[in-house]
Amino acid sequence: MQFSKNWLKDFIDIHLSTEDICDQLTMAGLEVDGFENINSKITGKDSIIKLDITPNRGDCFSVLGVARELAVINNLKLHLPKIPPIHDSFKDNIKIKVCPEGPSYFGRTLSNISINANTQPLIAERLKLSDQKLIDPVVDITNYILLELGQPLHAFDRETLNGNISVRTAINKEEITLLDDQQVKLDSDCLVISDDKGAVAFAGIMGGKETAVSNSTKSVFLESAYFKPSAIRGKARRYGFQTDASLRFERGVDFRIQELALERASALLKETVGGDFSSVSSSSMKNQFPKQKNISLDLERSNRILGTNISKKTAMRYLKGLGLNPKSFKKNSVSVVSPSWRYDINIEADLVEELARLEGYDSLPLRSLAPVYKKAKLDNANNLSQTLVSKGFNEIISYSFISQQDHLLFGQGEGTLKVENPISQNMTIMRTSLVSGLVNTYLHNLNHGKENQKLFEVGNIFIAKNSQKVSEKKIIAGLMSGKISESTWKGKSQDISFYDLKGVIQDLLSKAEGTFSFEENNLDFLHPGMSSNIKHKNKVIGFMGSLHPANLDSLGLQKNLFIFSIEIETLTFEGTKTYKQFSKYPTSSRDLAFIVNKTVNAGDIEEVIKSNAGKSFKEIKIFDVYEGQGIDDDKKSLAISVTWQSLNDTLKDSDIDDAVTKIVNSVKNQLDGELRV
Amino acid sequence: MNLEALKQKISDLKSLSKSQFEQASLQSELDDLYRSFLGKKGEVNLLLKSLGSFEPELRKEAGKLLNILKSDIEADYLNLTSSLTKIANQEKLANEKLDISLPGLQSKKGSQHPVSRTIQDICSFFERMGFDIESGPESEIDYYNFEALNVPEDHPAKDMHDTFYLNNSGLLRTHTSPVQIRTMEKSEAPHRIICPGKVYRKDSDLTHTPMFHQIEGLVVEEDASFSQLKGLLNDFLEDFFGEEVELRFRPSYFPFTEPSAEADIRWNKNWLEVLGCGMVHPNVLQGVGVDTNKYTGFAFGLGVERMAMLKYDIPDLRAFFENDIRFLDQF
Repeated sequence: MQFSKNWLKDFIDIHLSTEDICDQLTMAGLEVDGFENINSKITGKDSIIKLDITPNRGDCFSVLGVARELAVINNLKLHLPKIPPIHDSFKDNIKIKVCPEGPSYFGRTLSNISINANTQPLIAERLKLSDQKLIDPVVDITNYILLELGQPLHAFDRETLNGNISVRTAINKEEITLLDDQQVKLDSDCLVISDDKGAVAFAGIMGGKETAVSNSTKSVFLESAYFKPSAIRGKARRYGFQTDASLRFERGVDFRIQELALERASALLKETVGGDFSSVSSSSMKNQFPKQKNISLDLERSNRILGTNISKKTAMRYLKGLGLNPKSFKKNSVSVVSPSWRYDINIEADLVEELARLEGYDSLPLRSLAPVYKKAKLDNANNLSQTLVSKGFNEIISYSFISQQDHLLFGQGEGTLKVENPISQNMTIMRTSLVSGLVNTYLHNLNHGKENQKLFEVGNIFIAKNSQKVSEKKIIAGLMSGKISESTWKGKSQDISFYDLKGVIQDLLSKAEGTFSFEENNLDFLHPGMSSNIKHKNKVIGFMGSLHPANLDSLGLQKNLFIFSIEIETLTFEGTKTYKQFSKYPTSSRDLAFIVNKTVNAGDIEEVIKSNAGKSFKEIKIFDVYEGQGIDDDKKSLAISVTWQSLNDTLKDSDIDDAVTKIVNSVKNQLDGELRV
Repeated sequence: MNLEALKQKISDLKSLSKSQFEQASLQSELDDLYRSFLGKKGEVNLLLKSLGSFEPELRKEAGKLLNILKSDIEADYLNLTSSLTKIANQEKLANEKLDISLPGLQSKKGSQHPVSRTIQDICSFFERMGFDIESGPESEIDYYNFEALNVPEDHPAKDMHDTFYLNNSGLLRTHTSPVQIRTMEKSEAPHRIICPGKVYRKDSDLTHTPMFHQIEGLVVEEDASFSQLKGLLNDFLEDFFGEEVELRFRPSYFPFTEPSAEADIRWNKNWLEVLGCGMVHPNVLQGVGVDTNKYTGFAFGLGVERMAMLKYDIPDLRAFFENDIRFLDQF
């Protein structure tokens, strides 16, 4: 809301600078968006103050409300506008019927008005300073009262109304064309103003087109009504708009100000459009008004919560100033009743906030919280991140929602979770893998000349199990492409290969408990011959591999992109490591080269060797893989170094010879492998 | 051979070996010469073999003389070896001068995203204060995101959160506050928790991204007070920025706290909002079964990107999600 600073002077005798006023409002919880000093021909040296009112303070959506706040803060007296009595010259026989959702309605007819008169210059200027367009004197005055008192008014062209007025809920899908030409079909929980023929206004939100005031209007029916917040809340939004009236009604307007607002509007209209004024027609259901409950404030408890020492006398002054009508203190407690304009004071905590506000949040004392010992928990994600950072990976964070296209390329699993109201069509699907974010980041950086990239991200993926159930999994995923390291004056580095990727994964998992195995996977976006699942305790917990050549083609890439993804929560990390005895006796090694079929995996030979190498077996290392000249086309040679060591003594050559014989025989029998001589 | 002739021969060999040794310029030459005098077939050994021709009483004397010759030659050899080594090292040093201005072979450093780093920094302070780190789902339901936090259906406070709705009739959490409720539901008071995570709001412009990170803190204890909240946040901000900060609290509105406040810090002369906080609303505590006669609570929430922008002097919010390596490499 924005308004002229000088307007405040209609209500309070305030002489502070605009800056001071804005400071006071800010510190009272009315956020000041800004102010602008101006020189107006009509209001003189003035300022435009812009406020950002929080939803709990509907009472401050008016100059009166803001003035009331300033009055309490500065201990000033608040004056309401003086209204000269209206002499009614006739009675309009219109009958009014209210309902529980709209329990109070005041109306009056003005006939023989001059709709083409000019709005008073001061009012016109103040409206302009509040960023309100001038329309005609009737609409201008209703807008003026809305800004001044916070009471939305509505004016109907009296001649277009048929019969009596009732406030009622819409008959399902009741149609009405609103002032701004939009046609709405109202649900049965929407409130309307109706005449005998049907809805003439979307109550508290917007008037109807057919009954609107025009430049040929001769007489108007002015409405000043109270609608319950619950009847207005969310209704305008449901139809995709918001009005100054709905904004106020849904936050709550003073339910005792309707008559005053009508009188004030009448007096101002009398000055411009003239005409004859009818007596006021009204109807109300007082038992449907918001309950003004007694609230008890325990000052001792309040002081404890705030850490303050507010005296009864001070508290009394604050409570009175806020219009809370405090009774006198009984011991430490005082009973108050919330005023008709404050919808946010319902329980003791609300009163504690009022005390704190008036005392000034800044002057409340400050006390450090005493630390308490807590056992630290290991953070898997952090642990893994640090390993990757030390290996040269840059951590990225990408959006959790991705495009349908990216999902089709890099998604996993069956069900997806979709955003119903996405901000763009590229952000519709909750990702089921982190791959697309990594690939898109890679492409962005590639476009900026970065060919060698190592990226990773930690984030959740969303798997919709059925239409209701969603499971979120925390994933660490990465991408590598280009050279292992940057080229230097010493020479060029090698291209990253699958085995560099596998090395990273093995390093990542080396600190985790349990054993991990790798086996073929069937993800569409990976190269079938250069990818693998990552298994832990027989459960697939991730994958790694090169992107499928078809994907590389569609991204226009020549170089391989290597990707990995691991579910973080499935891993556990060792707390304290314990020392293991190592042998002080020498090791013995033998280098063995086997010629096997190409289809035999190195892992198969390793297994056979490990299980036949005897009890002093220590480790195995593959140091060469060879295919080509000197070896049959369907064969390859694997050179393996096997090492033995005993904890108890120096191994004898004969022991090793026996073990080697056993290994050679087993490889021959189980894998048809020949020892190369 | 008589003794005199032997003495003469020894004297000749001694000076001959010395002069020949001195002419050697390589260790290998010197070694060859050494062998020609002291090797198996060397001159000295030949003389030793001739000792048999001496009278027995003179043999001892002659042997002694030959041994002295042997150790003299040995000593000359060692002396010259050491000076040859010295010369060789000097030559080596003269030839082995590197251009030390050439760059060293570094391995490329990776980097932690500034948002992750900031979350870690912040959480580490609160962990030291005895807070547990808690997390919750990002795809939430209305109950945890709004209703349990005292935001009823259609409440205007919902307008403050531009919510993304999901096709499973859930929503993307608009704040990390649902974690408060989930934590209080599953465990008994007292509580000290800190909940970092991603949140989502339908908003995208220069200063808003549709996804960002928040950290929520909650304390529910027997005498949790507003002054402790102020004290804690003051300590936290000083810890985070590493220097004294000028902090201001002003009233604000959150449905789940009462009183509610926003905290501003003085930044380049202006006040800048950095966090929202307040005493937990009794409706929230009662909703999860906390005895409000026994316990009070306070909560606070802050935007991680905002804190990172201030700390690292990052001008553009969107840089966090662009992930340009030229940006990431700086952290």
